[in-house]
Amino acid sequence: MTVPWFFINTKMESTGGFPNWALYALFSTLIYAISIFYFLHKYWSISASEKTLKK
Amino acid sequence: MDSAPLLNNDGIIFLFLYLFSLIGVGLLGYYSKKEDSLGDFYLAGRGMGGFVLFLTLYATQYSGNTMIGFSGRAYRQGFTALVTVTFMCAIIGLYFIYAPKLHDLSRKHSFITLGDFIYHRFQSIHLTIIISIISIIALGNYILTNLKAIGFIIEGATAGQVSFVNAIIILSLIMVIYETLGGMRSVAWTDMLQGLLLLFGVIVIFYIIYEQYGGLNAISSQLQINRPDFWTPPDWSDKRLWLSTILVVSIGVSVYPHAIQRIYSAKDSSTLRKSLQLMVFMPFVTTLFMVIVGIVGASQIEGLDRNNSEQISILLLVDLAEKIPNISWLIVMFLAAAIAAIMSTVDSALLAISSTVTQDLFRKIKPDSSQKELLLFGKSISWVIMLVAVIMAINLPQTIWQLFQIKLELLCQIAPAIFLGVHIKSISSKSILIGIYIGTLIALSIMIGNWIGFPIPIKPFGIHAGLWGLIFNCLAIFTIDRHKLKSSIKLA
Repeated sequence: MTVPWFFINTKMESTGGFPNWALYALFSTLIYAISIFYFLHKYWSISASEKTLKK
Repeated sequence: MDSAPLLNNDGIIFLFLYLFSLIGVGLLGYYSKKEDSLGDFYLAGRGMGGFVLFLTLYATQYSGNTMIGFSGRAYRQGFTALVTVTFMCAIIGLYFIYAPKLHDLSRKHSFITLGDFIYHRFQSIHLTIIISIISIIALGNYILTNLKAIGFIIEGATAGQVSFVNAIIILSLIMVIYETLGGMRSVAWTDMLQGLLLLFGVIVIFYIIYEQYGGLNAISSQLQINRPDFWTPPDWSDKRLWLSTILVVSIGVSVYPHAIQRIYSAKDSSTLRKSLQLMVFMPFVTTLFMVIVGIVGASQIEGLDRNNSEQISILLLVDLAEKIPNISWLIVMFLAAAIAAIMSTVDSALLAISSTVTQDLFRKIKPDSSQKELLLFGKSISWVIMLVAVIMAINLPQTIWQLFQIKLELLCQIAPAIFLGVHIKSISSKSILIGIYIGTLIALSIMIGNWIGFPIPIKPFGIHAGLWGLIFNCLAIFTIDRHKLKSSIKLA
């Protein structure tokens, strides 16, 4: 998701000083970080639970 | 770089005062010990609070590479260096897979090292020893490359007033003294100072460079003329390499034995969780800032080769200090932050090796040793390891130096033992062991084969050797344990 797979052509446009494909990579990394922050908050106890062990 | 010293005498005195103050922190750690036991020495009595835990995780995770390597990479490769921000975030996502359960297990069974978990989970001495040896080799390589880096930084900054050899000896001595005085307590407290210095240093340097040169928006038009290649998106092969880099770095770093010891050291799971929640955003104020500094550098200073581009941050600071003499203190801050970043990584790796040798190897041979004897052995081992590392860092010929670049490729091979071992009980020690052998053999064959001239690319199909090893490692595990895994899935 964070790899700019869909950007192929070079465009000399920039947003905030970043080329669009770089901004995409940065923004998707931010989304990833926010998701991990949320998962750590919400699912920590599930990940820690003995019940997740598959016998 | 110019032959004039970056640090004047006042700067050198400040730097050495800071470095020797770390021994004072080591003494504080020594007097704060609760008992003479491995748990107290190597895990700070398992009572690390949120603030210290966060900063020690931060200082350990971000090495000198953050201050020097990332901005150099951005100078050379432009915005594709943003992959460094992604893999630093991805590491925390991987902790989420195993850290919650591993922390709970470590409390319940009093683990001290990674080997303790491996032995508890798989009941195999063979597997425990192999994983311990891989950890020791990877961490040893880490110490060696960082010691060498610190020698070059100090020799360069003082224009030879402090030589490469003396710099390595002095800093190694300081690290081993405070480490053996207070163990994890001293290391974590010095990490706290080093982490603050690193964070503050990166933010201040980024802010001043950004302000003085006008920021990315202002320089983008100039960059479009100087370096139009920065605007070209990575092609398919570079995109594969991008993904491979994220995977190999995040998987390798997430199983650092010294990071795992910090998971054990947390006071409770809530403290650990909050520290990791904060850590996931640190790449945006550390790695990203240094990448932008490198890109700003590319717009201001042209034509640096690979070695000189690694010094782009310092070249920008020197350039600024010539225009605005009042900010020459920034150079001292940059060097102090870079040295702090390196030291915090080396001391943690040293502590992890010392505990692994003591707990996973020596204790298995002499199970009746008292805690005092084990501690004495562990501290002695730290001195021996540091001595060997110093001798090797000073004397190793450049021709075999490549061998010591192998770290993450090896660590990737032990990841299945942790990720799968924590959650899936039906995975056997036999499959993990065979997987490690196959994965390590493949990764090393590709890398060493390329170095000695066999017609094999170092990253076949744009994928790192460590990742190829890991793919075959996992295939071996799932092939050997396929029947058990099928029944697990049915049960689940």
